[in-house]
Amino acid sequence: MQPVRPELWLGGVLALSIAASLAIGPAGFGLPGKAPAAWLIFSEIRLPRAILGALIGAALGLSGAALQGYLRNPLAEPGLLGVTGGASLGAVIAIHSGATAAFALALPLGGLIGAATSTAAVLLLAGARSGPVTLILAGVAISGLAGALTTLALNLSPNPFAAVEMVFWLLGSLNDRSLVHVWIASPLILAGAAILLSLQRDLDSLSLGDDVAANLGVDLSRIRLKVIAGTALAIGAATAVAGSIGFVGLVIPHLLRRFADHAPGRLLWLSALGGACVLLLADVAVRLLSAFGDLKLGVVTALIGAPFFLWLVIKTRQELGP
Amino acid sequence: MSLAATDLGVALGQRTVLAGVTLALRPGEVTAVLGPNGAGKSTLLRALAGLLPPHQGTVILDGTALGGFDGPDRARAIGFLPQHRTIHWPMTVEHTVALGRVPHGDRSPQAIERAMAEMDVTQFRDRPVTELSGGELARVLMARVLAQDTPILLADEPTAGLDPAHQLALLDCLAARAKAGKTVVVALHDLSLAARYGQRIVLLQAGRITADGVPDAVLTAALLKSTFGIDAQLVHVEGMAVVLPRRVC
Repeated sequence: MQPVRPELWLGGVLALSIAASLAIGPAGFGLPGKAPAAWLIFSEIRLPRAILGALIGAALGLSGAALQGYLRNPLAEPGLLGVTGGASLGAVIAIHSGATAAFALALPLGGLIGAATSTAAVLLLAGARSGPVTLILAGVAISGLAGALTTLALNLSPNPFAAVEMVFWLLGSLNDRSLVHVWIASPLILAGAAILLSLQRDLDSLSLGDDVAANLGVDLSRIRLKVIAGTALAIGAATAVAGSIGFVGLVIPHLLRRFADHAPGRLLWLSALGGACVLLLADVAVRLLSAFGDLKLGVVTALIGAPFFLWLVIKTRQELGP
Repeated sequence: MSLAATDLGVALGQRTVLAGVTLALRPGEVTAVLGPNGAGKSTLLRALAGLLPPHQGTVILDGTALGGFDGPDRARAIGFLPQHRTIHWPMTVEHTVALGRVPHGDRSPQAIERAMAEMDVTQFRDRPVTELSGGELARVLMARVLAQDTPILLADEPTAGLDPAHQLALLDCLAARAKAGKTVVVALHDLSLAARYGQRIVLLQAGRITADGVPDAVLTAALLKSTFGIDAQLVHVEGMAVVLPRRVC
């Protein structure tokens, strides 16, 4: 018997995750009946949340897998190139400046401007033709700068409420996101995902080194630009509407790599599906646990992701010996 | 397909590694590139493969400068085995060999099976490449080049780390491809294997070609001494050429 293709069973899990996200919430279980209030909850609260959960989870998993494949480093994660830090800074500045009080969409727009600015800065700093190491260094440097400026904004926050708003936003959440957020984020995420998914063969070729990849017809500077652009679009948009959500982009490719025969190209689709499943289910968990307090989505993914990563370290140690 | 370098010069950083190299490769024969460490063998092969932009002169593939080809077109013409055996993920042997089909946009089972059979790696097709020995990995990576099925084959020290049987099998395979009309270039350190399998020997020293011709004309005692600094002689045993190194001069 042929083993079931991992794309198929992950697709099945994703369908169940979407259904769970649509059906479960503090307002009760199940899909809406005829009551208008229930329909309102469904279309205004649960539907955008499910769409954003799936898209943002997919963006995180996909970008993590693409960066790990391009940098040939299993520790790469979507925030490595400074996009997450830049988007966070942009959103925090939007809160700090009071722009969000004037109009609500200042928050995601600030995030998008921050993501674009940090990506441009990383590109400028790394230069047009540099290799992976320079790119990582530039990303770390810009992330560090964005982080420093973010804490400065927190430090100088005009009042405690603004500080709390910034901190909660930084933790990452899908609470109270509307269809407007879906319209802002989804075209950018889908465009970024399309760019990253076009790299399947190039990433496979890169796994035998730069010279072999070049011999197989890969244009090394074009693939680099595509990885940066795809990540910036997908992660910039995701962070701009949901805050920074950690661990999904790091852990999901690890978890699924064996099902892709360790080929970085095939891992892209799997990680997109897997990331979507995990973020949707984590968001369902957030809602189920809301009776015990307002948990943020980024906190839950970190709480799930960190122990998993510990387990990965122990497993790797056992495989590689002492 | 013809591949030729004219007055080729390549610099890596500030250092000039190749200078004034003119070399027209002929289909149907195995050309062995010989030279001491640092002579520029790998740089010559990488430049011929289009991986290093020349800072002087040109590399011409079928009448067009190599830089004018787009990646996949060049990849369908020239297969290149680098000296460094890099592998980043534990993919299976079969998956690795199948990468040779990327420029063709297919996964032709015939080409992949034939390449795996020629390099004798079919029996561990499902093993992760990271669990292979150095010589086994070298054969898998060579099979990737063979699966690419190109009219021009450039291999940088393909026999390094292989046991004697697989060294001979690999060079037999390349010789057969040459006989079938392909252009084959190998950089080698084993002078006897070069003398036996190369119809043409190109001797490199300090980035320049110092001799170019049939083995008997190139592997003379005088050239072996001036190029490699060894006292050696080309002898024929049972009709096969063998370079007998006596001592370091």
